[in-house]
Amino acid sequence: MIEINNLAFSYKKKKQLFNHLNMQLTEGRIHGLLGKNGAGKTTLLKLISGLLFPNDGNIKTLGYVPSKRKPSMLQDIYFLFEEFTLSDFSIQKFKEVYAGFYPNFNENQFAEYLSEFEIHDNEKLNSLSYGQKKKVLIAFGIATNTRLLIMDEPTNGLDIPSKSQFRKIMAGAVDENKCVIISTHQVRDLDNLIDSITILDQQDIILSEPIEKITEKLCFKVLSHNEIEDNVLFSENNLRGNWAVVENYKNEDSKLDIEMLFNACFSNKKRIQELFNHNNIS
Amino acid sequence: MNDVFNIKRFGLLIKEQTSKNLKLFMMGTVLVFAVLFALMLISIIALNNQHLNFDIRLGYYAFFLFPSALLLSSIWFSHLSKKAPETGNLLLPVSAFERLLVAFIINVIIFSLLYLLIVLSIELILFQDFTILHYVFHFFKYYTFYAVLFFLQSIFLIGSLIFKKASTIKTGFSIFIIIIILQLISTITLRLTFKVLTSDFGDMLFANNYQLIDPPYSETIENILIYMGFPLIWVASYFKLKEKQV
Repeated sequence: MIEINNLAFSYKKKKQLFNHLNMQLTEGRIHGLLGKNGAGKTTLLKLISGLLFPNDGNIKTLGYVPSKRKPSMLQDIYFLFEEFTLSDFSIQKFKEVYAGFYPNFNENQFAEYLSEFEIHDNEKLNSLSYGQKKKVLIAFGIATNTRLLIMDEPTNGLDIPSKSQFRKIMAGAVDENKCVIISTHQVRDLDNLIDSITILDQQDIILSEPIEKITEKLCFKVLSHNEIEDNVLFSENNLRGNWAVVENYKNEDSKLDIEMLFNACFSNKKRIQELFNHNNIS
Repeated sequence: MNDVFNIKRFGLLIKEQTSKNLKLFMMGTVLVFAVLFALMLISIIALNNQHLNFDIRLGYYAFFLFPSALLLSSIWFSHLSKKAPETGNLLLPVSAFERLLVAFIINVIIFSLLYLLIVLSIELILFQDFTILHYVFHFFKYYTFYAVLFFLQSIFLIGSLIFKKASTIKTGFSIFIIIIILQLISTITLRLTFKVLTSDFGDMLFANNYQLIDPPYSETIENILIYMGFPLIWVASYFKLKEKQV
């Protein structure tokens, strides 16, 4: 679905953002794109969609070169931006104007998602709050049924009930032909939602793996006070005890904790990359 | 699927652009009408109800035509550079050619028709005179005038693609700088070659065997600028649009 080979990109000549970046994202999954501020998450999404062009290397999105921005590719991509401006349309008018550009747009789905978010389609977009506008765009984006759905910080501005509504809607929105990429700082919002994780660090990918592979190689567990393990990649004391990410030598089953994984990646980057062999296919 | 031009996509884009800009067109039309109408009325009153000469009216119409046309062109593509993009940004499934064609239809054709409508309304209400239509029906006779307008429109349009913010001011300023540079080059060249102090080749007379002749190639260059200037800039805009990154 998305293939990135030896990608190099920089905004300024001296400051390289990506260098020899390789990555593959497959369909049928929700990919979480994580990274610290300024790691290049939004830039990577823009490169994938064709809003920015690589300095070197190549990208294939849905089999196309994204920088050519061919309509046949664009009709299969919907990009939900973190910050956006909207015309002074009613939701109904917005649908009338933009739905036609996406051949697989489903009106019933759009109505269903709007009602799930408790928004009426006769409302004016400019009279809605930022969070409500975002919900309209999320509903519209999913209803376009594009093969690639890119969401940059989709949960920013959403209240707590809306975040769980978002997770519920997203979970039902993916099929084997679609690929969803969600970039976010708020890793907790992606709990139980994403199927694979890509963690970006400066110029590099620390990890890009499906969840099942991550939990196969890493174990997330509470260590008792007298329990000392030499394979701890990251640990943190909290009310629940000494939480740790350890190498899964014993093939234990555990539930992925995205925040712990994120911290482990930055505190023990080299070891994580060795463990996953850094093949960047998810 | 044809990735260069598709009539359905083109129709959808026209609908999108007109829906999005409907308020701007309506407000702009009313504003230009109101200003021109008020100006004509003031002029009539100032002349103690004497008939306002057609040439003066024509001057007013031409004077307001340029800023309104250039203002519209200078903001046309500015939404593509927004940091907080709209749904109709560069990722809208349309081709660069379709975007440019819509820009041409709205900026050149629809704008001209709207302006003509404003002028005709004023002429009808205040003067019951339709002489102005002569300048429309004899389009090619007055082509130089239209070509200058189209040329400037195309420059301001490409300006809206090049400059991310305040494209109107920046394009205007760039034109000003370019004119100064050309004047300087012209002055220096004439000074060095003919030892005269002027910046205009048109101030000079060329003679061959005591017979005055036009400066070599001057007509060709003028024709290229008049007939090819704006189409060339539209072609450049097409490539700029294709290369646009946000």
